[in-house]
Amino acid sequence: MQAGLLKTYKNNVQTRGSWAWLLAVVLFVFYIIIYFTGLLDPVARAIGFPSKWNIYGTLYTLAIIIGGIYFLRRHGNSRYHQIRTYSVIFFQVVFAYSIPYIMELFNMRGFTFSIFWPLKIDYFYPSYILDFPLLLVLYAFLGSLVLVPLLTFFIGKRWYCSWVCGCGGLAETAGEPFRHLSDKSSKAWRFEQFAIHGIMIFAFIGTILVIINWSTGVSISGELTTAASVDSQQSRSAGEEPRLVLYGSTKLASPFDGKSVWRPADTSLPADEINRKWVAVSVDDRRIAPDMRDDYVIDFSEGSNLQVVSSRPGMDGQMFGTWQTGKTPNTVEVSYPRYPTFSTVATKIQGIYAFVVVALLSGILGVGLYPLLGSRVWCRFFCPLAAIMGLIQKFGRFRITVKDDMCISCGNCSTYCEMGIDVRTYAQNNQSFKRAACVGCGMCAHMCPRGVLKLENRWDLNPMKNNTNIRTFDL
Amino acid sequence: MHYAIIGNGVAGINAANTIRNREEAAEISIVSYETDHFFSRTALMYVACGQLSEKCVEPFERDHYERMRFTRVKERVSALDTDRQSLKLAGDRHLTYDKLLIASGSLAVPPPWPGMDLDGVGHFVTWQDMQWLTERSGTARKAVVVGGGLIGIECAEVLSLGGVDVSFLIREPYYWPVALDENEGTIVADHMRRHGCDVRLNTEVEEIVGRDGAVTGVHTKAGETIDCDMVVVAIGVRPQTDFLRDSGLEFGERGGIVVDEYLRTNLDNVWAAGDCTSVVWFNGVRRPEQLWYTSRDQGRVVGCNMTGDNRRYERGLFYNSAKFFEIEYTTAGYVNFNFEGEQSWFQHEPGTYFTTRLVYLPDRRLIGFNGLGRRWDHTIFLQWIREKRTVDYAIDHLAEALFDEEFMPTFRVVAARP
Ligand SMILES: Cc1cc2nc3c(=O)[nH]c(=O)nc-3n(C[C@H](O)[C@H](O)[C@H](O)COP(=O)(O)OP(=O)(O)OC[C@H]3O[C@@H](n4cnc5c(N)ncnc54)[C@H](O)[C@@H]3O)c2cc1C
Ligand code: SF4
Ligand code: SF4
Repeated sequence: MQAGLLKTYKNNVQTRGSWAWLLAVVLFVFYIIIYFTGLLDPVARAIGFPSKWNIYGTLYTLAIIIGGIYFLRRHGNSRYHQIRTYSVIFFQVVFAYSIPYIMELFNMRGFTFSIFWPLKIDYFYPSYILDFPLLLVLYAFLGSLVLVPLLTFFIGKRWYCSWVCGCGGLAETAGEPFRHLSDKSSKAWRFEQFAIHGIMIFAFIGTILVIINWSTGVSISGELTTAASVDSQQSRSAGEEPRLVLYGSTKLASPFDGKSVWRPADTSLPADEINRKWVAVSVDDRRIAPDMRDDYVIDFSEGSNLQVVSSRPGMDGQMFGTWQTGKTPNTVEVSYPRYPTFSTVATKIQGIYAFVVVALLSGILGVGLYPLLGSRVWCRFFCPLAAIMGLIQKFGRFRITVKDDMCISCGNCSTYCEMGIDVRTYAQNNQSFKRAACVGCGMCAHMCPRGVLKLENRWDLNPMKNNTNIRTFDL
Repeated sequence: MHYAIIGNGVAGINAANTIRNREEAAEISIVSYETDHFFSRTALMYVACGQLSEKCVEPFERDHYERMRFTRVKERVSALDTDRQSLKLAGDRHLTYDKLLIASGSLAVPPPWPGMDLDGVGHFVTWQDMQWLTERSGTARKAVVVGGGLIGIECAEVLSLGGVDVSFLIREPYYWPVALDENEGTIVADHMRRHGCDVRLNTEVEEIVGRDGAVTGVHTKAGETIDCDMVVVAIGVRPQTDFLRDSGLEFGERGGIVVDEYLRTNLDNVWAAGDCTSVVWFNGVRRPEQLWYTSRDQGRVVGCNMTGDNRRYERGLFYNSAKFFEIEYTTAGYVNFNFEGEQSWFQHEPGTYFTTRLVYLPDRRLIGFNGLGRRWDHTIFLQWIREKRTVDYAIDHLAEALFDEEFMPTFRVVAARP
């Protein structure tokens, strides 16, 4: 039951007016700065954050809190909305923001318990898995493969999309003023089915390729002779920038010729010569040495990523290992692929996925388009986790029940459905329904002035019976 | 076969859809002066306040007319000539038909008092009314809404939440006695007052007054003057059939077109459906039935009958729903029909505006239900009434008829049993 009428269509910023375009441009620019430049890194350090991503996380969390308060002022008369809004704020503040941050303070890699594969595609990437303790890896697997499907079957994907998820959380709070902008046309629906399942298949294939690539790979690890973390501690207490010193005696070697040429630094072939041929080093994506030499000194900050990358012709850019300062023992793991061509393709696909899906679609477009196409562009058209849950939901218990013959076709439900579901068409045909896209936000039922709709979990699994019992007529 | 349909409302469009589904080759023309697209009249208030856009209230996608091959004639019909089977349009033009459906809906009832021609005075029934109200409420400071019914309260809500001070004049001693009892009407009126609406009961208009052609106030029969710069008169609707006066059609009470149970009029090849008809109600009385769902159902039935079928239009038990500001209202069966010896069981959940009322006969048979605040599935009550359940059974099983949102405060029977 909606309280107080909305003035949505009298508002410039909510109706794709000039302010909406301006806001979209601001969001785009902000995302481009965050994703593709280092402009915010100094800012982050100046205010005591390790990196720009913490600034982003903080702003994101604030947007959910402030947007949540705004949402509750509009729709907080409903307990359903109260509870689920508290829930998204809680999961954002505690699970997505605080816990990973605290883990990092304790020198662990941050882990977000409220994200699952394939939304977090890395969770099934072996290199990622190996970085985390077994328990967390188990959690990621059981969560993604058991918890998500089960909960979705029993209560619909809403438990995640509009109660837990950060993307959904932002849409439900800061995105509230824009929810009506979702496209309700059947054309948009056709595009949705094509796009979201396409991305889902893309995510499956990407993950499988990465796993095959990894499992056919060969890896060796070398030890850095200098204890960088110690150095980091020392220089930090001396008030200097921490530094990592790499010596030529690093036990890195290249076995590319098929024979084992893996040699420690004290063998006849000088390590730096091998390294010069095959390995380059970069810190935080900045290539700092064309190859590794004796006594090469790198400035870095704690939490930086040291990457050892091949510079071998034909395999340029192939990442061999990453090593985060202050986290793991002083080893550099170097793995090399058994099938270089396959590996190149797999890595390319992984890269394309990271760029197109993770950066472009979920971030830049997903949020940047809020003022123009509504708050669920990512969730509706592209999110691979939503696609999987949607398929499960179709077979599950959750549905929207339609009360017979009471709909006045006013369109409040369809208009305020952020997923662009034309709820009215079902309602005016007395048809209870399950739609893969429905995130169970409950807004259609809330806005309906005639109480026609009800979100329910029920055991009779097929609501699609066409119970058009209009007393005198059946189409 | 050329089907002409006067009216692009819910009755007209449902008839047209049905005809197309049953007759692939039919030629179908839809005449309407109001809008290009079928829209939901029930949602006019949401367009006026800005909650919905004009497009939001169109129940079908815009290409519906092309896909269904309906020809639209955006004109006003001024007369019907049954001998030549033609409709008179503007100028000298005509539209001939083989079969005609009249689904011309309703217009506002004109009030008996003077002052209706002043600038700033209007109704709220048509699309044009909505545009007028939207525009006027942008500049108005103080409005008077006359008429304690559903359209009146919708206007009051739109205006007062849009920042206009509203006086709501109700002739009766409490809000909407047609469907509510005094408890319920008082809860609604109090709720309106909490929203800053100045609700005046037992108040009748004597005259609307103005200066230089623009409204300045309303005189009441009690001698008061209420200053205002806008007046919305919502004292009811009547069938829009004046243009058919000389056609030979038979009219009933309030100008409704008399139709039989197959929705045929007294003229050959002419059917009627929707608000403009006068049909026999469940209690045997012949009256117009000005509701969304009945118009829709009539449209579907008449579409079948015009294409050769013989379906009765049976309204069945009465039910309806409405919304008074936040308060949702559901009714089913016979409420306020004053059967002999009828009684009510009523409960008001403390601290809320949730009420439940069950109407029953001396033999304890349930005959009607009224609910405020909570959501109820009217079909369950209709089933109980049809099954001749007792009021005691209904009280015991009320929770089964609930249709509330999840996590709503649990429903409990708090009032004493009858
Ligand atoms: C503000 C408001 C709120 C309402 N709320 C509710 C509600 O909550 N629940 C409910 O059940 N009902 C409600 N109603 C009533 C409901 O809208 C009507 O019962 C329903 O719309 C009637 O449909 P219809 O197709 O018979 O006629 P209409 O929708 O009135 O359509 C009439 C059509 O006929 C055309 N027409 C008429 N005369 C001519 C002519 N001479 N030439 C050409 N074209 C002509 C018009 O252009 C129009 O297209 C409400 C009505 C109003 C005004
Ligand atoms: S159908 Fe209703 S519950 Fe589902 S996403 Fe749309 S508005 Fe939310
Ligand atoms: S289901 Fe409710 S909100 Fe949707 S069109 Fe029908 S009456 Fe309006």
